[in-house]
Amino acid sequence: MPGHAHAGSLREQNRQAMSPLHRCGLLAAIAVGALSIGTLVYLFDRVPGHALLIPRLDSFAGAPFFGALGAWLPSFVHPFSFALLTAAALPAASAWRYHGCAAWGAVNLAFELGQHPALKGWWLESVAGDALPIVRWFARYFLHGTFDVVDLVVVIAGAAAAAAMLRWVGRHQEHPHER
Amino acid sequence: MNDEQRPSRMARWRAGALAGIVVLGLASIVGSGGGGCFAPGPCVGDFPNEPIAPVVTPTDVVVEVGGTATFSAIAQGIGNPSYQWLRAPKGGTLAPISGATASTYSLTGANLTDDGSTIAVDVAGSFEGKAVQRRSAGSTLAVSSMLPVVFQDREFAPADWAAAAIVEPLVGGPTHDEQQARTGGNPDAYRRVALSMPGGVSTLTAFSTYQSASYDPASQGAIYLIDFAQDCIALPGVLGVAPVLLVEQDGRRYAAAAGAGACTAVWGRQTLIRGTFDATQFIRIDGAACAAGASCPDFSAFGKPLKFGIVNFNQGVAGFAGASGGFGIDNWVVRVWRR
Repeated sequence: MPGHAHAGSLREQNRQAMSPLHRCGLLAAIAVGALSIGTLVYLFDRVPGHALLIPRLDSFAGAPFFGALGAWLPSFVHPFSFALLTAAALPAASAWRYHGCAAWGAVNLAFELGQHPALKGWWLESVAGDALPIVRWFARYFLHGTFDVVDLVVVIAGAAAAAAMLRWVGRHQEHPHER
Repeated sequence: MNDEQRPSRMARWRAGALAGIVVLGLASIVGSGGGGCFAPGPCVGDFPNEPIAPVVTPTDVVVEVGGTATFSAIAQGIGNPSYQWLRAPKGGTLAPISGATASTYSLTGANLTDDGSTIAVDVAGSFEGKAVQRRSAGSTLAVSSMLPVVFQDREFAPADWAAAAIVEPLVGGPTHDEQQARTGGNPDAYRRVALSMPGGVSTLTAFSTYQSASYDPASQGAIYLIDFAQDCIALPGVLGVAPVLLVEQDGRRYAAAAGAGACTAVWGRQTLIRGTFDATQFIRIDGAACAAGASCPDFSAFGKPLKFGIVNFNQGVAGFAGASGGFGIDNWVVRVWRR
């Protein structure tokens, strides 16, 4: 009988469903975990004190852990993690979850393109003279960075991976009327 | 909470969370680079093929009313430099000083309205064929209403100085030896401080205090600023040394929070250590903790008498092989300025 079959199928779906809170927590946990790995790249593999907001821990430096992977891992982690965090803060059924993946991908692409040598002169003028401190900080980021086409590809991969993760989580979430 | 309030509250939470995520995301991008420089002004390495900002020396000056303050500009590699000095009154904005276009600038006849002024310089010129212009950071001018009380020593007779130290561990730990060296100073006698650090973990805080005079704020007046200078030389050895100003008051010792860096292997102007300090620029390094809300050190007219000297700190960490060395000081002078 169709009604009984439908009810059994629905009960089965409810047993497998993920509550909104679990969805939010899962996404945030994955994002924080990925960010932690990205932070470790700066602590172990990068020059101590190279980054503004990551403390200089000389006892960690000089012991490269990630190797060649460490060169691109942060470019993947950043759009991936922040896209998931954004989705965690949005309603489960919101289309803006996937827009967030695209947005963080675009932001990271812009910051990578800003390191292109053709723009160095512009950033130099921003750092010199009387530019506002926040302008200097952004300009200094671009001046000290190195443009790499591979980073562009990795950024896109990170954003795409976030979208794939959202799709996977979306298959297990409750259907009803969470808004 | 009713059904109408719950969605509204959730919406506000989401909006706040999203705003925080955006700020954190942007900050983490910028914070992951930048070469480690967080200064609001230019940093060395900002533009590897460009000159960095010019420097004005000294960075802090105190003069008495009617006195003269002289500042010098260092162009830092800018060719054919031209200068324009600027001045900002306390709390004001920088403006060009008419006719102040030499590499040095002297403010004569200082008065109390000049107190707290900022002095800077714009340097224009060429670098690698390109025209450039850079502005220095500001130097601060303080003006006192009366001449300073001066403590100075060029001879360092043993009776004039007392030595003390905090040593860890006490057994088999660091050693120190202070004495007057009659020759080899800048130019003659100087105070010689020899230090030795064992291998492994240890600390040595070596104090030398000038005993011949002290300053009593109660009778001599509240302290506005302390102006400190000395010549320094590093003794043979690999131990890094950087003695800074010491203040003793009421059973406590304080070290100036800033110094001029490590002593080098030669006497001379490049090793002159100078600083101008107020009470907030000292760190308590020995003695009981101060009471909550108390000023430590106390430079007010209620403060206890103060003595001055020098202090040097060395620390050995795990894996340290041990080292010896030390430093010498000469032409030591402390000026106590009052408002």
